[in-house]
Amino acid sequence: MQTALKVQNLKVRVGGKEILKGVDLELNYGEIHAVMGPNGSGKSTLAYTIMGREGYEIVEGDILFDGVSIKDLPADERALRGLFLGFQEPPSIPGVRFSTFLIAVINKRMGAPDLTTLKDPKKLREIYNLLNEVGLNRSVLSRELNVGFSGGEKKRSEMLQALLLDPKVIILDEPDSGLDVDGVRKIAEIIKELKAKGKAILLITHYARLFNFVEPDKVTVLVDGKVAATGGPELAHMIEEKGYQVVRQQ
Amino acid sequence: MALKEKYMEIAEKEVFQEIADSPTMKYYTNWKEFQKRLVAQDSRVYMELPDWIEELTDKVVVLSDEVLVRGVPRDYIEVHDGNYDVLKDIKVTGKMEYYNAARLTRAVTIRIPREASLNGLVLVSLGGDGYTGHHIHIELEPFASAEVILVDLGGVGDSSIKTLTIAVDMDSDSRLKFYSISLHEEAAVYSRRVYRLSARSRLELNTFYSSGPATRINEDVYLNGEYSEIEVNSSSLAGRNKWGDVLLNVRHRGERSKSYINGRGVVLEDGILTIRGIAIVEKSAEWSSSHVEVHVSAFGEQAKGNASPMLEIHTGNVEEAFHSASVSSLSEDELFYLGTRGLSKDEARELLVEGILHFSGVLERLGLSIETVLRGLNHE
Ligand SMILES: Nc1ncnc2c1ncn2[C@@H]1O[C@H](COP(=O)(O)OP(=O)(O)OP(=O)(O)O)[C@@H](O)[C@H]1O
Ligand SMILES: [Mg+2]
Repeated sequence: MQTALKVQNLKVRVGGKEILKGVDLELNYGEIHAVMGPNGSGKSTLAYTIMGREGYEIVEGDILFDGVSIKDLPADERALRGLFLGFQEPPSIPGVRFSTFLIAVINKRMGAPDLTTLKDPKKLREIYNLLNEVGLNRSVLSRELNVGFSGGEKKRSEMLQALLLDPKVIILDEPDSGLDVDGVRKIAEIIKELKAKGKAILLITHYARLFNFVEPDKVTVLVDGKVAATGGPELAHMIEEKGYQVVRQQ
Repeated sequence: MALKEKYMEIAEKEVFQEIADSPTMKYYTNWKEFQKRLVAQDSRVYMELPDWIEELTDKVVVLSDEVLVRGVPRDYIEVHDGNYDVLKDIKVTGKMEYYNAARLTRAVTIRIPREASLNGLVLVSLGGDGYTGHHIHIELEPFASAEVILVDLGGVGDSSIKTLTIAVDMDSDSRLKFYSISLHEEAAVYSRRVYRLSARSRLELNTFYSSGPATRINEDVYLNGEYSEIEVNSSSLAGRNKWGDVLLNVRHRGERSKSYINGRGVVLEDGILTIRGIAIVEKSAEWSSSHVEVHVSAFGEQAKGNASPMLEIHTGNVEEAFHSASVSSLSEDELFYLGTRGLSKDEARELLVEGILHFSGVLERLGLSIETVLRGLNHE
């Protein structure tokens, strides 16, 4: 299997504090790689650093995407090369309607000079289909981006964008939190679909609940900014049963 | 004639506003600029009718120092000269409104009966190089339904000043979709718009304001009848050297009346922009519901944005009451979020500005691009 993303001995400082303390991780195309860990273990920090968030200072190590270092690229460059992050808590942006936002990101990718008028009407049909697929009502399009969205609506919107933007590497930061069982099942379906399309998926979660519906190929467990264990799906199930105690003791 | 002189006498004595707006900023309106321009002569040169209006409609009423009517049956329209008594249609307060009554240039009354098909009626108020005063009165008969577009153009030069008053009376069960665009350019514009809604009437008000050096807009909605409803979606802009003050006021009087008020604005460079959303629920307005939300995004170290909501409830029973207001700029996490979607920081800002300007749906309805609208801002 071809390697999509390689995180090498990554040490990251945020706000003057070392949060990631030498993380190694390899993500292949067509693979679901779960990153688990207790609250505050550095999962979101890892996701943000891979995406190039400002203030997440790489003090050591590197991030390779398709064999090329991306650690000095700004977030938008990384996104355009094919990285995507579905946020744990996407921010709300009043004034910008969801439709306006979607049109802008589509236009940007298609190289349209103007961000706000939809050049390709076929895309609108696609958006409608995807809304349907992720289980969102069309009326969200006229609402402002994430403003007043319920937890579930936010997660669905993030998944919709993962499908719409067709990235190569998809990082999902707790895509299941705040969802009911049907919602979790739906998200799992979409993740499977993305895997079948050959995407590389980094699936961050601290519950193994999601794995009842979609099995990860690999599992990496972070504790206190370090990799505490790696393994297959059985590791996730063990954690589900016994908690993070198991890996902490190793 | 005597009446006009009387109004001018009152105008001279009246103050712009009695009470200061806030402890930090005395007045949200640039009254100083109005004061400077009050002495202007009547406009001699008016703005030209923009091309895009021709493409928009074949039904148009244009006010400048004269009134031009095209494609609208004459029995729906009454044209008045400057001697029209505005105070018959609007109860006035403050200096600017007496001044408007005293100096008015032109007025029209438009009656929309039930059988009229006046969708896409465009009303244009053209400003000029000096003083321009316009008044428009629209009456919808019971069960009448219409879509009306108001184009309010300021003027050029530092003597340009305009007063524009609008009164809309909606009889029971009438429907009005009202789009309005204000491009004030270099003019100081004072505009008060009053809407009175009878039982079961419904008004959808979509507005776009591009402020001049002094823009003051009052949208005053009176929900007089039971089950009357208003929805306001508004986009405001204040760019370099511009100062806008927008008030979105609703007064609930009828039982089970509903208001939904949304004001969004963006202020750039050294501009100043205030948006106030105000809902007052009177005692008689039981079981009414009101939603007021205003937000201003400020870009630029010197840009000043103010947003304030006010909700006053004088009745025991309300169905829903919501209000919120905020002023912000794009935060680091918003920029990062948009970055992960492929937008650079400049593009993220552009998206926010354009998003707010498109928010009201007015540009879409008029088929206007942001460039067309912004062009006016750059010709200083
Ligand atoms: N800006 C910051 N400044 C200082 N410390 C920070 C900052 N951001 C995060 N941290 C700290 O870094 C650690 C890791 O946070 P992170 O959000 O990556 O954890 P997480 O594994 O995603 O947790 P959760 O499961 O709760 O989402 C936490 O201790 C957190 O307090
Ligand atoms: Mg997290």
